[in-house]
This record gives sequence, C-alpha cells and structure tokens, in this order.
Amino acid sequence: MSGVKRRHDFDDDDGYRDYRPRMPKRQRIPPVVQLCKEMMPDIRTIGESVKAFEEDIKFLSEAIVNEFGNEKYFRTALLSTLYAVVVEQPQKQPAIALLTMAVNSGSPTTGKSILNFFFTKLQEWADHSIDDSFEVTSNETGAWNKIKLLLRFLSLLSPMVLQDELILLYKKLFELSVELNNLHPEKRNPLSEAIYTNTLLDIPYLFFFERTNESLRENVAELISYVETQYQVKQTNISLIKEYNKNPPYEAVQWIQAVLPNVKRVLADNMQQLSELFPDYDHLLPEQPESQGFNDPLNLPTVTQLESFSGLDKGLGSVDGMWKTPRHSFRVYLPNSIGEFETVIPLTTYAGMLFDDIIIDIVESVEFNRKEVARQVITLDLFFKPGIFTEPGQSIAQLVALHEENPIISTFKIEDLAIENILSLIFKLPTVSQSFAYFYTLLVEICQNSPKAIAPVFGRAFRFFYNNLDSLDLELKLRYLDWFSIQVSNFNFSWKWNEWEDDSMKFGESFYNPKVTFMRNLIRKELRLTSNRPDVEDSLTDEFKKYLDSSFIPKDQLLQYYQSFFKDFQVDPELLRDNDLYFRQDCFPFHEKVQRLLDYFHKQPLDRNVNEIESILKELQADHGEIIVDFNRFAVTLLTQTLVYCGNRSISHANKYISDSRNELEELFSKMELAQDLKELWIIEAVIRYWNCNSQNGFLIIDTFKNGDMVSIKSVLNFSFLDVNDKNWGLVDATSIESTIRNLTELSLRKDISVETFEFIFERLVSIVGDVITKLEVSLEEEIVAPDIDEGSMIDVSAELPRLDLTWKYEISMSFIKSILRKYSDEYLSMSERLKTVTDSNISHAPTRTLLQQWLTELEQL
Amino acid sequence: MSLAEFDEIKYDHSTTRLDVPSNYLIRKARRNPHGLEDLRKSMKSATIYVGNLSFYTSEEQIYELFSKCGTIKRIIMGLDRFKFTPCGFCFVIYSTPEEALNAVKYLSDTKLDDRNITLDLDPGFEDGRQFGRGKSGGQVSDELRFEFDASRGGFSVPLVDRIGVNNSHNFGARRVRDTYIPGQDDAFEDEEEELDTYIPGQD
Repeated sequence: MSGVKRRHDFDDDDGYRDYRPRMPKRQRIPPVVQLCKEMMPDIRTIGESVKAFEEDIKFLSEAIVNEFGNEKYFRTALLSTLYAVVVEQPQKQPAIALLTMAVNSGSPTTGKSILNFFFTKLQEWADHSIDDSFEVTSNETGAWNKIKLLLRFLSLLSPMVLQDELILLYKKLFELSVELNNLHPEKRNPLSEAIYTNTLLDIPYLFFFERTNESLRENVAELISYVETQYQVKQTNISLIKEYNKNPPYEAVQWIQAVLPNVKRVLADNMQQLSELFPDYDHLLPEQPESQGFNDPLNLPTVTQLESFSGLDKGLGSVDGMWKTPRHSFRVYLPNSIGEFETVIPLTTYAGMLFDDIIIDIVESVEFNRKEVARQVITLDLFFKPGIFTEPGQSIAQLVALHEENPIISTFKIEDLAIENILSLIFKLPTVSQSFAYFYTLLVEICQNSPKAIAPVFGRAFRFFYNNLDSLDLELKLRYLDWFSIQVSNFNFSWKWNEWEDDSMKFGESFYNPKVTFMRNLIRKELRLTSNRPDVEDSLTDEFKKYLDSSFIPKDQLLQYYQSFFKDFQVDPELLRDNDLYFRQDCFPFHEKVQRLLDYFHKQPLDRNVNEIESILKELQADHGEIIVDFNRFAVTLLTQTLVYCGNRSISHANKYISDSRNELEELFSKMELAQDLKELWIIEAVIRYWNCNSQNGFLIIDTFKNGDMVSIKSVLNFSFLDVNDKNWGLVDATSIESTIRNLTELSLRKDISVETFEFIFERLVSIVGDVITKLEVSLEEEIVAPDIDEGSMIDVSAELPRLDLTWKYEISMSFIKSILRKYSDEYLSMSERLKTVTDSNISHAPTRTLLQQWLTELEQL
Repeated sequence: MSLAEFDEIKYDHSTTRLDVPSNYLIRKARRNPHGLEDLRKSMKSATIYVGNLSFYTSEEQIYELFSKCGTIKRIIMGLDRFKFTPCGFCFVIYSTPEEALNAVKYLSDTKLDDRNITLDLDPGFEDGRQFGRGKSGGQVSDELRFEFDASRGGFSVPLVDRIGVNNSHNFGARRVRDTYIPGQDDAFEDEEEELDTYIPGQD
C-alpha cells in the first residue's frame, strides 16, 4: 500500500503536479507513472496476504475512485492490470470483483467503465474465435478459455449487474453449445464440449456474493434444466490416447460427463458445498447502487461461422486445444497407495474440477514466468475457504495419523493437487501444450522453493509411474524418463535406488523388461547430464553399478562387427577402445595409410584433392586386399569412422569435418556400384559402432549425415530397428527411440510430405510384432499379455525369461505402433486404408489384428 | 539513451516476463548507438547466450538439456582464445526465435552440472564471439572473481592481487575493457558481466 500512501503525500504537497523539471539530470518519472508503478503490483498480488486483504480493498478502491477520471494513462494501466489478473490468475478473480464493486459503490460511473471494459473484452474474444489470422503466443490459452474467464468474472459481479443480462449471457452460450453439438449428432464436437463445460463451471460464481438471492436461484435452475434436457452428452472412447496400454491403475473420468452432476450437487442443499468452498467476503462488500447493464448485447458467432473452428485443432490457444480430444482425469496420487483417503480432491466434485481448471489456467497463461507459477499454484488455498486443505507440507505419515484420529478432517494436500495437475500436462496425449522444458523446470522450481515438503510428493509420483511402467504408453515412458533425469540432476542425482534393487536382481538379465530398460536408460541419461561421473556413480547402490556401462551393444558383438571386415586376421578386443579409431592402432597392418587419411581430413578443404583418398584406398586394396572380406564395405566404414574420429571432440567438431568432406565422400561413394540403401546402412553402422560408448553422440552425428543428404531418414530407421538375435535396440534404447521420434517429427514438419517413411516404419514394426507372435507360438485367439510378476507370483523368472522377454517385446512393439500412429496421425490418416490391408495380410493373430485395426480407425478422431 | 519499448513500464501481464533482455544487456545497449536495434534483434533471433557453465560441461550435456526447448541447429562453445578450451559460456542456436525465447523463459537459472546457468537473449552469433575476452584468454567475469571456483579454473586472480593493496593490478572492469583484442569489435562484447563488486584495496 506504500504507493497509495505516497500519493496522499503528493496531494499534500501543493503544486507537485505542476512540477516540470527544466533540465533533468536523470529521467524523472511523471507522478501518474510513479503511482501506477506502485499501485498496480498491489492489485496483482491482491489476496496473497490474507491479513492485509481488507485494507487493500479499502485503500485501493478509494484511490481508484479518486484517480480514475484524471488521466488516461492511469485508466489504461488499471484496466490492463485488472484484465491481466482476471485472465492469468483466476484464483484472484473474487478479490478483483470485490475491488470493482467497492469502486462501484464509491463511483458508479467508474464501476460502469470497468464493467464496460470487461464486456468489450468478452465481445472481442467472441470475434477472435472465428479469426483464422489471430496470432497466438505461447501464453495464449484460447478465445473460448478467455470467454470462460470473463464470464466467470462478470458472474462474480452479480450484485452490481442486472440479473437478466447475466443470465442472457449464459443462455446464449448454452444455446450455442447445444446447436454445435447437434450439428453432427453422431460425432463429438470438441468446441461444443468446451463451451458446455466452461459455462457450467462458471455458474456457481453467480452466487459468490449472492447466495440468498431467490430469483437468481430460480433463473439458474431454469438454465440448468435447459441444458440438462437439450444437451446430449456423447460417449467417446479413444484407445489411442489412453495413458495405459492395459490394466489402468484408475478409471478415468471425463470432464463432460462429470461437470453437470458436479454443478448440480454444489448448488443443492442450500448451496452447502458452495459455502464450504468459496470464502465469505460478504462483510467486505459495500452496498451496491442501482444495478448496471451492458451497453450492447453479446454477439456470438453463428454455428456456420464456427463450424470450421469447432475441432479446436487449429492451434489457437493452449487450453482450448486440450478439448481437441475428450478431456479426462489424470491421476497420480491414488488413495489406495497410502490409506483409505484421498489427497487430491476428485474430479467428480465441483471443487476438484474447479481447482484443476484454475491450476491449468495459471500454468498455461503465465508460462512466461515459471517462478510466479510455482508460487501461485502452491498457495492456491489462500483464495478459498480455510480448511479445504490440510496444513501445507504435511507428510503422508502425519496425514495417516491425523486421519485415524479424526476421519472427517481434510486430507487434501495442495502440493499433491498442484503437482498432479502439472504432471497431467506433461503426460497429456496426444499432444503437449508447451515445451517439456517448461513443465520440468516448473516442477524443479516448486521443489526448490520448499524441498522438504515437495521432494516426498515427487518421490510418490516417481514410484507411481515406476510401478506402472509395464502398462505405461511408450511415449509417456520417455517423458517420465526425461522428467526424472532432469529433476534428479537438479538435486545431486539423489534417489533411493535400493527400492528398486529387487526388480534389478530379478530381471537384470532381461533385454525388454520395462523396468530394467527404464533403469538402464535413466542411468545413461543421468551420465549424459553430468561431467562429473562420480556424482551419478555415488548415488547408485552396488546392484546398479552394472548399468554404468553405457555401451550400446555389448563388447562381444562389437568385436564381431570389426571382425566381420576381415579374413585371416584376428581383431584384438583389447584395442577396441572407447572413442578411438580402431583402424589406426599400431598393430594394424595398414595403420600408416589410415594415418594418411586422417592427415588428409585435417587439411583445409581448399588444400586437398579427392584423388589423394582414392590413391590411398587403391594402395590399401592392392597391399592388403586379401585380408578384407568386402572392400567396398570396408572403405565406406573406414572413411566414415576416420571422419568421425577427426571430429570426436564434440558434435560441432564432427559437424565441421563432415560438412567439409561431404562432397568428397559423395564422389567416392558414387563410384561404388552398390545399392544406395546398403551404403547408407554402412555409414550409419560405422558411426554408431564408433560411438558405441555414447550412442547419443552417434545418433546426433547421424543427424549431420542426414542433414547433408548422405543418409536418408528411412535408412536411419531401418538401421535402428534391425533385429539381432531377437535384440532390437530401436525398441528399448532411449537414444535410439529419441532419434526415431526426432526424425519422424522432422519429416512431418517438412513441406513436401512423402508418407513413404511413415509407411515403412509401420510395416517394420508390424513385421516385428508378427515375428514375435510366431515365436511365442500362441493360438490365433489367445491374448498376449505379460504376466504381473510380484512377490506372490509363482513364476520362475530365470527359467521363463526368454518367453517373458518375447512377451515384453510384443508389448513394446505394439506400444510403439500406438505412439507413432497417434503422434503422426495426420500422416497415417491419409493411408489408413492401405495400412489396414497391410495389417490384415501380415497379422493372423486375431486380438493383435483387431487392436491395430481399431487404432487405424480411430485416427480420424485425433 | 532511451530504449523505446524496453524502457516502458508494461501492465499487460499479472507478473513480469522472464524472456526479456537482462539488465546487463539493457545497460550495454544504453551505451551503444545501435543498442536499441540490437535489443530488438535479440528478441527475434534464434540465438541465446548461456553463461556460468562449468569449464567441464560438454556440448553433449548442453544438447541433452537444451533440446527440451526445441530443435537445436548449432551449439557454439565459448573458448579460451589462447588455449582453445571451453571457458564457461556458449551460444545455442535454435531453429526458430520462439524456441530461443522459450529457452530463456524455461531454462535460465536451472542447474546444469550442478551450477545455476544464466541465459540471455542474443542478437545473433558472429565469428570471433566464441572467444573469451579476458586478458588471460578466458571470460572477463572470471578475472574479476575472487572466490575459488573449482569448475571454473579455481582462483583466477593471482594471490598477490587478491591480498595486494597497490593499484597496479589490472582486474578493474574498465581496465580490462581497454585491453586490445585482435579482431574483436567492441560492439559485440557480451561475455563478461559488468560487476560492481567491492574490490578491497581499490578506490
């Protein structure tokens, strides 16, 4: 409030306003700017201090009443600030509404101006909703979300606004949603669902300051009975966007199904639930003068105008975009894992749904300041009735004790609520609304603010996902891996690894076990995030030290690879060193020629002539050809590895050497009369084998070869999914999976869309699935489901491992197909009929075929 | 010099934005005749500057973290201009300006290799800027640092200067800026922080 006090000081200081500096030494701020600079932050933080709230409202409203008519600068600053708080921090809306009504009672004209401003905004957003050229920034939540928030704010102002006009807004929106919904009665209409849910969710706010208003109750009852009879809630079930491939740990609730019962319940029993949710500001609300109306009626776009926008798939706002597919609950903190009580308010209550809605709005609309978001979402309870949540930072053990002592006391944890919602955004399918980095660092920020309270909450989430790894969607596993690694890298890599020792002991030998692959990938990722290996090493218990070896393929296989180039020559496994060129070792018969190649690539591009390489290769073939099995294969590998070795200091080094030599290699390779695919495969293999100790580097260097058009994406994918002795690294290794996704995404962003590569990978995965089914020797009707192996199960893991591995391989391959179909649905949709034929002819196993067909059919709903 | 929109007080959000030029950039722009232009350029460029890195942090580590914000086109490690070893900063070039702004919003002040990294907008990389401009070849900020920092080369100010009282040492910010560096245009200095730390023994 210092700003306001200062202003009074200025008033006492006669003539201050006339003061004009003649030659300012440094820029002086005009008084009105100074006033705004001090006052607006107080509005932005209104309600954060419960103690100061009453005074804040009083002083701020007085100041606004005094200043509003004076300067345009003040008016603009004030209205912008009010608007920003209303749409960015909806939890503060009741406070802003109270402030507005306090202003209104002091000066109805000012009150009316504020009301007009917000109504105009509402109209503007209605107009934007059909504007294709509307420019969207990353913090834009979308026109319909803004309409929701503005309607909520106007509803809060019910004591100062004509009731009929408010009800009319609701009526128009409901009618619009009904009309949109009836457009195609058999098909779900995303926009209609958004408007229906948003508008219903706003209704209780009409009663925030008007709980006893009988005519309002009647009007609202009428509204509700209108939507109840007119709006037909549609059932949709899209398995492609399910987070779990089997045995979901909870039954997801759809927003569209839950919202009406929620609202009806909250208004029932004389609004008992409402009074337990909303704080009581009635004593702060001054008497309102005569009710105000809006200047114009709200003009919503027509159904015809909206039809092309009603898929909400045009990227016109983050929260609106979430309605593209049916919105459903996402749970992490389930009651049964800790005791018979919930720590998160369920979505099947109005409060639960509203909190989810508010948190998501804050997270999405203030994405430009994660520090503020971290603060706001954890202190949300300040803006609601005390007692809804338990004390902040309460541990689960404390809660269990409390609950035993007094079963009616609240066990809801604000931390669980906030983090579950942020996780729901990280794990959102089919698309995520912001860069992952935002959500990850937002969570890190929240944890840094109060590590003691938050770290255990994260720990519970880590465990939850870990326990459900067997059924978690493949794409989500990657997100989990990323989040986990970034989180622990910010906290010294500390994790209670001993919890997972049993799994490692039981399944350590498995190639496809979801938990083992997760642990392996996690430790490798942690190693990639640090330059101080001991940080990671020391965090691990002995059981996990074996995962510190980050070799892509095991040493014996690497040896086989190098041996395959030679006959009558033994490759010494001792000389296969990490990040070193094998062919330059002294014991090698032609290491001097290899050295000449290295010298060549080290020369400036202008000083060299490709003939030099040719002559070296010729000499090599003449002198040592007899020990080389396939000289072309050897030459491609040697040249590629030599280049990669030259650039082994970093990716950019490698980039430099590769782009400098691109034309030369192309010339050399083109002279070999071989299929292009084969050459590309050799190049890729040479790079990945060179970087066997760090496959991430390998795949990134392949990207450079790809950007230089020396290898195609198809070849990269072909290599990634090669099956050697039933081991397919493309299905389990995170660096390989990331490369696959990176490449497919790049392809989908290219203008000249050729879907050939997408078709290729689908067919490749289907053939892997077909192959596994054959090996499993199951009957045509028998479902393939990996068994749940917990302490009580009778399965002898070591004896059953080969078969178990095949089952896991089946599940991973299927999950891979599901993920890419969903992620690149536009590409796959265009050829879905063809793919159905591919599936039919390749898969005779009925359950698999049915599932694949179902996914292909579902594509058009994404 | 006035910096137009960068000097304005904005009321369009309920809190500050993190993707704005740092105070350091603003101060630098004020002294520079093309400052405003550079600032505007930096809001639209796909390049960001990353500072306070450990000397041991590799390009691959940077990739691992920064790729979470978008597609990285290039990473340019800042090098000691005499030793050609990493000296604690880098430029990351994304494929779009939005991704660069995202990185500034989401990754500034997060930890990489156990250090809080600093991010700043950047008008775009030009050759020569990858080198440290301190006297010793590294970053100027390190030469102004008194504390021991193991991951940034230990002590950088020699012991005698740290305890000395004479005025002959050369670690004052202004003095360092006067150092002639071949091939360096003063307009593109950006690596060092202009520190106003109290330096014992200096007036």
